Amino acid sequence: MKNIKIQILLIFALLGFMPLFAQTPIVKSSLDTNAILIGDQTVLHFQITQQKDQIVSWPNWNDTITKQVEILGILKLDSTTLPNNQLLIDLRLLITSWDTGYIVIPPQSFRYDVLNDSSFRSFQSEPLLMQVKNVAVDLKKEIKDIKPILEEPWTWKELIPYLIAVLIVLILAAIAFYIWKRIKNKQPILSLPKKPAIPAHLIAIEKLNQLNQQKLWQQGHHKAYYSELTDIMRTYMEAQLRFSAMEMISEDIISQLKKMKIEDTLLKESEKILKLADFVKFAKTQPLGDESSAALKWAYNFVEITRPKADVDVEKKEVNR
Amino acid sequence: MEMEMDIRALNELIQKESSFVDIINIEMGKVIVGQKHMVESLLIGLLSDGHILLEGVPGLAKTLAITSLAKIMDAKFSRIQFTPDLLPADLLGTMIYSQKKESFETRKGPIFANFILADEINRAPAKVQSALLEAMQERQVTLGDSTYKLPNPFLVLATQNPIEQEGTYPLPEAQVDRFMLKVVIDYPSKEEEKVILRAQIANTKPENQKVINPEDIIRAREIVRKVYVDEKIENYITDIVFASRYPSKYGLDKYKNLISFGGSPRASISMALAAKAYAFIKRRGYVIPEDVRAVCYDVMRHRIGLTYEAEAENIKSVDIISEILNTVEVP
Repeated sequence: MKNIKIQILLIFALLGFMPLFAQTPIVKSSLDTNAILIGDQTVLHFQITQQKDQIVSWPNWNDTITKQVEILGILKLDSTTLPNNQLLIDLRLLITSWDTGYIVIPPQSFRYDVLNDSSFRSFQSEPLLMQVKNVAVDLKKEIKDIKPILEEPWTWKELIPYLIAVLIVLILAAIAFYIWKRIKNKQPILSLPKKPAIPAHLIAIEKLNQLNQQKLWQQGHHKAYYSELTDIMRTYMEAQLRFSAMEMISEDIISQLKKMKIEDTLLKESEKILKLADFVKFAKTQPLGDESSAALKWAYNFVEITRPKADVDVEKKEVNR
Repeated sequence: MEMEMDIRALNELIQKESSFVDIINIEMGKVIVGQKHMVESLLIGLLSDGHILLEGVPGLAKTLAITSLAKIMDAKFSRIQFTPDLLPADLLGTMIYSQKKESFETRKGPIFANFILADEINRAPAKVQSALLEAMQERQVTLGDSTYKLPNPFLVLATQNPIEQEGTYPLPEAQVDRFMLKVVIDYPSKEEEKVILRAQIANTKPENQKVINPEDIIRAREIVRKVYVDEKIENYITDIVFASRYPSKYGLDKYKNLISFGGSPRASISMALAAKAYAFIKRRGYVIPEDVRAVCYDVMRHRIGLTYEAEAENIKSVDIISEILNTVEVP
């Protein structure tokens, strides 16, 4: 038994050293896959082990191996030095086929030359079998692309003109909307920044001063005097006390003042003056001089009492300075 | 305070002559609980020689109010129930052949009364409505070859029921415009209804006394005509009516597409007359903006035409009137 083992080992060892003694290069051929779809691609490998001093010539393939097998390109051609003065050449070809069925890649014949010997030498690869399958087509379904068209990613260079166009459109739309809004609200399209609003009580006092200077009731223009006085006061109430006094009748104004908890004396005085104003305005009543001057005093007093308290403090501080 | 003589004198005269207003109110109050606005509107119509269109559900004392007023004034009263088969002759009267006299005799219709209650006016066809409205306008009726004056005072109170509109003949806008006021009456308050209930259960039916006569009303009308309306008030009235016609000019753009037509010149006239009558009731010889506001809804309510858009948005004419009053500046 021990002798048999020693004999097998010796046989493998001799086989292992065979290439060293054999001068003919060895080629191994293989496929990445031996079954592809029609038109699909696969890689055909040739690995040649040769002596360094041997010159191996490739078959003259051009672009086909056989009529049925097309070469699309060489993927790799590489050499690796092996021990014992040997060289491993690795050749990978990208191939395809447009015929279905079983296709044989026949043995490929490689020529090799040895230095100082012009005799013809060659060696062959093993034949390979490849199955080319057809694509299963369902004729009942609609015709469409196997794969969608590939889209290239956008670049900034391509995007910038579009972005500028969108920006211009947005700016124009914003301008158009602004103009439309201004026209709708009956406002000027371009307006200068407004001056800070003058407080309502200052306007009222200014107008009351002007009314006093006009001396309307002294000249017998009672109706004009009371109309102007009530208009000044109603405008003031609208701005300061925030209710639509201009559109209210005297009775409603008094009710509103009651709701706002205006002090009782002022409320009674207001009621009296507004009623008197109604008599003068609508009933040709001619009040006495005292009544007219009292009406103006009431107006000043009303403004003084109902004006914002913060303003009073500020004005007092200004006076103290 | 020194009053100009004419208004002061007028005020004194009104104080003296308008005392019957209180008497009427007291007498009306004996039989009608609540419905102060309706009673006031009846007086306004009576004093300003205008007719009233009354809208309200049945059972709100519409008939009772006008019969009571007729009793109080010792005036002739007719109630005409408008039905689809009513003919103009049923209302105005007709010529009847007398075999005895061998000639045509005039048979005057129920319209020859001081107070007419045209109940459910929209149930009669257009020809009857026209006959009534023409008589209201002309104050006279022609039967055959003769024209007969209607009695004075002559007040028509027409009612409409707002809930049953099937098989009715709605009054055209031109006809509605002839009514000085359109008064919408609502249910009494809970307290008022309790009083009505107690009175009915107790079966106490107070009788109205004759306290004034039609001549008093005719005299009062003369005074009402003298009530002073200042130019400022005239401007206020015209502003309100114009705002209903051209809302955009008064900053009421949102109502531009909701109003199909605004108040007619008759609206301005009616508002001024009704405001005068209201001032008289309030014992004043001059009109103030309060008077205009008090009558504005009743005068304008039926004179503002609404578009389909307004109906779709459930906007009523009173909403528009309120907005107008809140927008137009008070003088």
